[in-house]
This record gives sequence, structure tokens and C-alpha cells, in this order.
Amino acid sequence: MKRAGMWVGVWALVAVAGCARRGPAPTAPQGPLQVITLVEPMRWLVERLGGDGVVVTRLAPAGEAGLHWRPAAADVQRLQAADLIVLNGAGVEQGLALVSLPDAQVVRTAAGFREQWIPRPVAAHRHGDGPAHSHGAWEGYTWLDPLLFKRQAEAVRDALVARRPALKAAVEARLAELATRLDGLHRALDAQAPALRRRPLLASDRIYGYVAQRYGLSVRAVPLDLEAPPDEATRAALVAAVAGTQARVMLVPRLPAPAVQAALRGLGLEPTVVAPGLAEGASPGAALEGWLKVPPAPE
Amino acid sequence: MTPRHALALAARALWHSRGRTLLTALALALPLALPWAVHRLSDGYVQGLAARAEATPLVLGAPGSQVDLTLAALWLRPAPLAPLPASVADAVRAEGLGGAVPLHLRYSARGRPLVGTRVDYFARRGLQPAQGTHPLQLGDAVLGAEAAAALGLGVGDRIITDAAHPFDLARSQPVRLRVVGVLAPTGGPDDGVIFTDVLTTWVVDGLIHGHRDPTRGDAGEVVLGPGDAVALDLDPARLGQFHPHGDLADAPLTAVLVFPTDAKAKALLAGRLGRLDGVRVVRPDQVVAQLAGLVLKLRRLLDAHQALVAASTALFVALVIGLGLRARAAELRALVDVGASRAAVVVLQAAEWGLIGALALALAAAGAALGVWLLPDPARWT
Repeated sequence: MKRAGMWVGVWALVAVAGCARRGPAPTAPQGPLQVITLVEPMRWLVERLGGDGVVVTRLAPAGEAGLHWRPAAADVQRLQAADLIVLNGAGVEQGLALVSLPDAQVVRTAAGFREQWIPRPVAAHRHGDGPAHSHGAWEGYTWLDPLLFKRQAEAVRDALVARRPALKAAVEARLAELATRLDGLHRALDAQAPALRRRPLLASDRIYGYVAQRYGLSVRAVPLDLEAPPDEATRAALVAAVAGTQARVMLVPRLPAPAVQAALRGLGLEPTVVAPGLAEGASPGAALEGWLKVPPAPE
Repeated sequence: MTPRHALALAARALWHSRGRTLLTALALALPLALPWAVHRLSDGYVQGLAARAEATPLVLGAPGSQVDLTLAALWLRPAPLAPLPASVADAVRAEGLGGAVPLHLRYSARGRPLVGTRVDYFARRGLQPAQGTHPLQLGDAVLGAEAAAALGLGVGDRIITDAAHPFDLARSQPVRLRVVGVLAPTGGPDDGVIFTDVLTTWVVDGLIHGHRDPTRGDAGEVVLGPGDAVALDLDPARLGQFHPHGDLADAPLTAVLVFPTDAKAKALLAGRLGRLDGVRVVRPDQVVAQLAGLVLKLRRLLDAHQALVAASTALFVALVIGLGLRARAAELRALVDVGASRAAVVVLQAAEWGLIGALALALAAAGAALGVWLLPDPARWT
């Protein structure tokens, strides 16, 4: 609990710091840029860099992460009328894949590093007697890798400045500050990586792929409901995973319910909150800060 | 004899032999009307080509005929062009020097070209819906004004795409589209076609289809049964089941319209995009200039032919005048006998032929105007 309180505190500090940068909308000659996003990290990033020069709307309803959310016709009309649509790409915002978007207004911030996208294994299927095939999918959550997230921030910078050249100096300054923090985070994670590499890690969700890729970690996802004690099938999967990997740490995006914590500890796994920003309403900055606190795997 | 009296007498004489007068005027009018109409039509054709080309700085396509590519991309006519991967449009946007609008021109619906594109096309061409909206999601169709009138369709109606290739039934398949908008008329080629999102044309291609989502499970193989049949009725309630069948970066396009931010960006893009494998960069203004040059050459040839016809006609008219004077010699002598001067007789004859000439000019103008009105808009000849 003490550790969880620390993560919440870190998140709150960053969130407050982020909020403090926001102020009343200025009366710019062209008016603030109307920006639409779907997932929280992109909303946070645009607001962080654009400051008062942007009005960001996260189109997905509250409580909806935005990964699979499909917009209704009225939502698509709002998208078509936006000055800028900032998407993550890389398999995120799947609900927009088959929507008539105005490409000139769309920025997919992860498009610049497509070669680093991580393919997600998906079920193959056949139509009748046709050949087996799958439709391809990518792991999302690119923003958990500080260096990739910096590139996404640069893509947002380019998009904002291209549409509002007057914002250039302010956006560049905000980007420089964010980049400094992300570089520092990367150095810290890089320093911790050798210790983390000693033993595989388990995770309750498949969100840590890009962090694992960056720092050479072995993270195995075992889907886990954080609110209810694991059922027999999940317990069996956890036992098998622990036996197979000798993992001692289970990465979770928020603190599990006490019964779940007890069950994990009973299996020799310490639940460790990483990236609390993935919870609805929090910021990826907090998620990244949270990752800094991951303890080395026990000897 | 005053000119007024001469004209009055000439008019009465011509009216007296009105059949012969009309025949003579028509014989003179026809050689005049034809070049007149040709000039007006060719001028309109060249201006129409130039205006459309000016509004489309660059076109990308697969290697092949640049004339076919330009005509297909600018006038939205299905053409047997090699496909271009959709990733080319992304490559253009990645340059950050302008916009890219994809075009998929392989199919039709009830005989009208089905144009797969993105909503950016409507902004670039200034196309606003007179009813309804632009395409919003998979299966939405927007009709050009003339296509809507000719097909008798409006918002809320359905239209099924035509079977595209009789020998390609295994892949392309008819899809039922929803009409969600009708565009305001523009007088251009956009009026006669049916627009849909390029994603919808990829459904017809078989690259996007619908069944329950096997990607939510872990890796493993799923065999889709009868309940998971591929759906081609793009019912909004079932759109959640649709998904790309592979990477859409490789999906086919007929062309990509490129709109650079300025002249420098146009030059840079033309150079950089020309280095992409399997991509041909075409400047429509240059292609149209070539086409216009060809039209003007043909027109000059026709003009030379018409000049010969006119000379021949003039000789025939001179012959007719000479024979007419000989045939009417007794009549003209009678005029002199009753006191008319020789000058008055000459003035009277000149007035008659002047009136015939004026009538021929009026008939030629009317004929040229009628021809231009009856023939289709040159801008749509392509």
C-alpha cells in the first residue's frame, strides 16, 4: 500500500504540474487549433506541447480507453471538421481503421518508426477450405518507451507548427523540456536494465512490449483480472509461468485488489505497479515516472 | 436610287424566288458554320483541360501511359492502368510538402464510375453536399449531381456495385452501398460519378471483409464456420466485424493526386517521388499542353481544309453570280430600258448578294450555336 501511495503521489505531482501549464484560452489571431485525439497519452501530449494554442478533445467517452472504440456517424463528422487529429497509430485506435478520415488532418505519431513496431501474435483463421491466415496486429503502448515517446512528441511538434507557425517558439520550448525529462528517464531505465535482465518478469497485461524491447527485458504477459481473485485457469497459468521463468515480480498498471495481491504473493510474485498513467485519466508522464521506480528483481 | 430603295427592291426580288435564295444561303452557311463550331468546341475543350490540370499539380501512377493516367485521374474514368500501392500516398504525406489524395477507379455502380477516394478529395475540389454528408464510414456513397438525377437516387437509397470483371469473380464482388449524400452540381466530371471511401472499394477488391474477430484471442488457428460468413452487405450494425485482410499499405490505387504547398514543394516532390520504385510522376499541365497542342494541330489541319472548301465555294458563288447575270440578262436590260441607270442595276445586284451573304452568316452562327449546344460538354469527352 505504501508503494501504491507513492505511485499515486508521483502521478498526482506530474498531473498537477501538467495542469499548471494550462491557462485560459488566449485570443490568438487564428484562434486555438481544434485537435481531436482518442487515447489519453496523445491528449496529454498535445495539450502539453500546444499549451494555450490548442483545444484538445478526447473523442472517446470517459471510461473508454479508445483502443477499440468505434465512432458513431456524428463523431466522424466531428473528426472531419477538426483542424488536426492526433493518433498514436501502431495498432492503437483500431476503431478508426475503417472510418473516412481527412488524411490531411491526421497525424499518426508512431508512423515515423514503423520498423520498430512489435507484431502481436493473433489467431489464424480460414475461410472454408481457404489457406490459414491472420489479419496482422501490432502491440500499442509505444509511449512507454521514452525514446519512442520523444519521437512521437516531435511528430506532434511538427504537426502543430505546420498549422500554427506562430506557436513554434512556445512548442519548441515545451518539447525541449519534455525531451530532457524523457532522456533522463531513459538513462535511469538503462542503468536499471542490467539488474532487471537477471530474471524474467511477469506482467498482468500486454502493455510492456516496447519497454522490454528497448531495454532487453524478458516480460511475459499472463492476463490477470486485478479486481477478482484468479480463477483456477488463471492460477494454473500463473503457476506454470512462475515455474517456467522463475519470475519474482508481476508488473501491474495499478494496485490489484487485496485478495489478488495475496494470491500473487502466495505464488511468490510481488505485484509492482508500473505505468499507473495507463489508468483512465492519468498521464503517460506519470506512467513513465512510475516505471522509474521498478525495483530490481530479487536475487 | 438610294441604298434603302435598293435593299427594299433586292429583298422583294429574293423573297420572290425564296427557295433559290435559301438554297444559296445554306450553301454559303455550311462551310462557315463548321469551322466556327469547331473553334468554339476546341477552345472549350482546351480551356476545360487546362483548368482541371491547373487544379491538380501532380499525379502519381504506375509506369504506363501518362495520357491514360492523367485522363483517368482528372476525369475519373475507369482505365486499364496498373495498380499503385496505397503506401505511396503515405510516402507523399511523409515528405511534409503537400497533401496526397488516393484514387481507386476500377469499379462502377449502375454504369456510373465508382470513385474510391478520401474526404480530402471533396475539400480539394470544393465539392459540397447539397443533401446529406460526405462519406463517413465503410459502405457510404455520395453521388454527383448529374449521376443522382440520372439514376433517380437520393439520400437513404441503396446502390449495388457492378460486377467488375467477368473473369475475376473470385476476388471482386458486388457490394451494397448506402447513399448518404448528393453533391451540389459543379459542371465538371465530378457530377457524373459515384464517390465512396477508398476503403469501400477495397471491400469490393476483397481486401476488407467482415466476420467475427479472431484477433481477440491468443495465437492459434480458428476455422470460421457458416455463421461467420463473409459479409458484403455493409450494414452499419455489422461494420464492427469488418477488418483489413492484410496490410492495407499494399492495397491497390489507380492514382494519387498530389497537392504541393507551393511551387518549390512541387519541384522537390516531383524529384523525390520520381525516385520511388514503380511510381511514375506526371505533371497534368504538361500532358494537357501536349493534348491541347494535338488538338490545335488538328484544328489547323481542319482550318486548311476549310480554307480550300471556302475557296471552292467562292469560285462556285462567282460562277453562280455569272450564270445568274446571264440568265437574268433580259430582266436587267428591261430595267435599263425603263430608265434605270447601269449603276443602279449594279447596286441592286450587290444588294441582293449582300442580303444573301448576311442570311448565310446568320444561318452559320445559328448552326454553330446549335452544334455546340447539341454536342456534349467537351470537358466530358474524355
